[in-house]
Amino acid sequence: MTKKISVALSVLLAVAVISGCSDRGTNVPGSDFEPRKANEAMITNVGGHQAPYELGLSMFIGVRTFPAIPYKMYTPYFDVAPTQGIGAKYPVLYLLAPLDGPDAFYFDRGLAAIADSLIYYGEIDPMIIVCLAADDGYGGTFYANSWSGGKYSDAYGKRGGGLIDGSIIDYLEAIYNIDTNRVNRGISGFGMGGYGAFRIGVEHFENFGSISAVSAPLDFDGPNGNGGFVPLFQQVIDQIDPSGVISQEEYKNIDTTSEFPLRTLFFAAACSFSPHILDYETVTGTPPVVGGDTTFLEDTLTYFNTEGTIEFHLPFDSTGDVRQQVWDYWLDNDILRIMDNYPGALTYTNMKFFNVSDHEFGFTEQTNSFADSLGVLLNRRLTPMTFPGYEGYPAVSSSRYVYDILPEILKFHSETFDVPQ
Amino acid sequence: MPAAFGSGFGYDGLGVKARGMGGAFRAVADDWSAAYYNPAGYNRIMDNIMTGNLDIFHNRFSTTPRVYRGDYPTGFYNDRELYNEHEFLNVPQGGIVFRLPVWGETVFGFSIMQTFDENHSWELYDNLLDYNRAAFSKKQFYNNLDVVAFQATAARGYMEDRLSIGIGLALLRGDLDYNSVVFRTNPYVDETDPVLRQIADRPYDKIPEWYATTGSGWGFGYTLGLLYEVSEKVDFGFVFKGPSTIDISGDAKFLYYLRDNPSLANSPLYFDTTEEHYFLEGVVEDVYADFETTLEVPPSVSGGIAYDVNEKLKLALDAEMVFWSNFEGFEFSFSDYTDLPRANFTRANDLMQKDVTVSADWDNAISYMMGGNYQLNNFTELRAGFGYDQSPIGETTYMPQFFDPGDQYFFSGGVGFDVDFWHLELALSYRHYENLNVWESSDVDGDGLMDNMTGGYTADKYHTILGISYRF
Repeated sequence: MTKKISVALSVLLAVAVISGCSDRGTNVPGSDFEPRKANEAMITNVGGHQAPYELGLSMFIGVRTFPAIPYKMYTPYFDVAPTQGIGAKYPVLYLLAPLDGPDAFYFDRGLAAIADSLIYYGEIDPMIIVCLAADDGYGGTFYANSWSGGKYSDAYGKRGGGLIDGSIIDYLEAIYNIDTNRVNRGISGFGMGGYGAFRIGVEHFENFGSISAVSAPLDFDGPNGNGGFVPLFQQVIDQIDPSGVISQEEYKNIDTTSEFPLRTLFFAAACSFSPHILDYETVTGTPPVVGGDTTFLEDTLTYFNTEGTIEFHLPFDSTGDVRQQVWDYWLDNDILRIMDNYPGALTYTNMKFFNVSDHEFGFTEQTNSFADSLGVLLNRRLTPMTFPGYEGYPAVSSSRYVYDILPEILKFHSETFDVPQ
Repeated sequence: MPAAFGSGFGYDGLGVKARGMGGAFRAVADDWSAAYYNPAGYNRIMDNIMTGNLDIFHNRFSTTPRVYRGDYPTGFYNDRELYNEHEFLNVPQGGIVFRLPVWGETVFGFSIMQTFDENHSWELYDNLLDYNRAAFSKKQFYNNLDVVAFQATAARGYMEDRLSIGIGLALLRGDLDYNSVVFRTNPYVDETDPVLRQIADRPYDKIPEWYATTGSGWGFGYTLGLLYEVSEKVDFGFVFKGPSTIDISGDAKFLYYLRDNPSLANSPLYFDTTEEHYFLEGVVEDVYADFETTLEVPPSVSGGIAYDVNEKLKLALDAEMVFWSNFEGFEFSFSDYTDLPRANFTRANDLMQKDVTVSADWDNAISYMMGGNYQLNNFTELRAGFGYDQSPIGETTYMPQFFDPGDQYFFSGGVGFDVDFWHLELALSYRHYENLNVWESSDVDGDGLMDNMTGGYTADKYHTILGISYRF
């Protein structure tokens, strides 16, 4: 009896050990999915779409060899050649680059792999994504509608033209298989690109069903009139001369390379908002000759490039104090101020805001302030989604976190698109 | 010789009878494995014995990584329960015991036994989308640490053999294969120029480094044992195992996975021959070096009581304290690098010539063991045992290479058969670890590399130990 029990116990233990030692295989994730590299997923028009009317008169025409809109276009994962007229049409998202961003800006930060993955796993609808550059002049001109800086808002946002003389929308919709319904056209951008998205989205509200922006300069003077860009004036001065005051000579010798994005940010905006020849804005026929000084603003910082073709005024003086006359021109370009000219513009537009937590130029506060004001105006809840930094890698720039924010942007616009399933 | 028992990286498969009794063997110590459990026990071995053991064991572990950088993904397969590489591990060992008429009558022995062991491999990570598609080694987080003792043991009796004293002197061979993935901060992170800073934009803020070390070394250890017959039915054992240091040296290989971003690499901003371009063009740089490190093997004290309930049944109870706080991890010091990037790539060279510290902020641990041996008949013994073993590893330095997630409960059983001069034995053992969840990431040495891995851990371990002895 004892022997039987011992044998039985031994067998039970052996069975337990053997079953416990079975091969569980591997549960390391595996997939046939292989996202494309950026250059495999993009269509590039080397010369860009020509826009001689909108961009041909800007101060930068001498810098650029021709007035073109360069772009890079993401093709949907399952359709690398979305030819016009073949198959179902795709919704389209326009992504505007931030200050000094090339048309490859979003591709450089993972757009192709991110979009491929989201489409493959069904998290977003297949879509075309058009990436537009902001590398003109001092890193773009805020996508404004200015003869001096370029009428980017029209060049990017209007419709009704043709393949040759139309906007980038007209051009792309004539070539590629893009849905032309408003609801299936979105626009977005990081930083200055976010400003551009809202500016274009307001000025051409009939063309965009959804807008999003990430830490964008959307409220130039902040909620109390002294925020937004205003605290940055002194920072620009201090960066050039730590004494807090700069001379005209220092100003003329400013290093305007992209190594100093804070100052080039102001230069970029001033080219559009406060050019030396103010009536640039109203000229619709023969453009004025660059270099005239009939409306020269005395006692303001005025920048002239060595060729004498780029002229603008900054909204602060040599000590960093506000120059109200110039500043007022800037405030005319505040999105809420622009909306006064387009009543009801965003009433039927889906919108979403994103922020990085510690934007180095205070764009987070500008975005929050604008979202609050707009929410009140439209009686909508528009609380931005915030992306914090982590230890050793603060969220001082939205560019740093494109990789993490972009999926949320694509999901948001995909949800607003009305695509037949 | 140092000691350990199951927890930490201690080996818990030594001796068939001892394991069958749950490790409660210090006051029993009547076979070759007394060299490990209590050398004084050799004094009670009347015959010359030659023994071979084979332990076949299986680590059934799982890791559920939850490794984020702030709120952001890192490439770890987060929130998925992942198994260690399936493997049956074999540990042969054995010894010979012989009684010689020297110094009175002294029993000598020589044994080869594995006293420490850690062996498992994990695949927990892949580069994030769009980073670099080059494949990683399957053995990403891997530790194969063996300490084998070549021990000479001697024991003799005093007080008419009521008191036995034994000593074991061991030459320790340490072998170490240790792999890990660490994440180096991209050297362009702190740049202010946007053209340079964007080289480190997410997900390129960290550069994955996989390193693999293979080396070995020698050390010296000792064990002192005492066995005292308190009464006819009660024996008491006491054992001290001294600390050891094993200097290990060998070869190291590194793989650095640099960002593969042809879109940016080919932009006009970065010329082909520049270091910036090098950091963008998807290089997987393999670098080689020599390494040195030190394995601090912890000391221990232990004791046990054995009680003869009757002629057939013996019960034993042991406890052991292992001073795991002596173990401070590995400081890998690398030298004689080869295959480094070109010398004028200073950021890359700096990045790829950093030492690595594997931190271990461990506590001392105690274990309790209880077991019994029942003489079923003239040729059959039945054994059973169970125990409790503390884990010395805290959350702050918990990495899957040292897999000891929690306090352990273990159960064992065994059987032994005498056939003429032969003795055949089998022991089975099951060890269950309490689950561990590590929530807070830590960098205890401040070197910028994580010293623990946040996630969930579960573990079970199975042993099957076979033994054959010949008396002569």
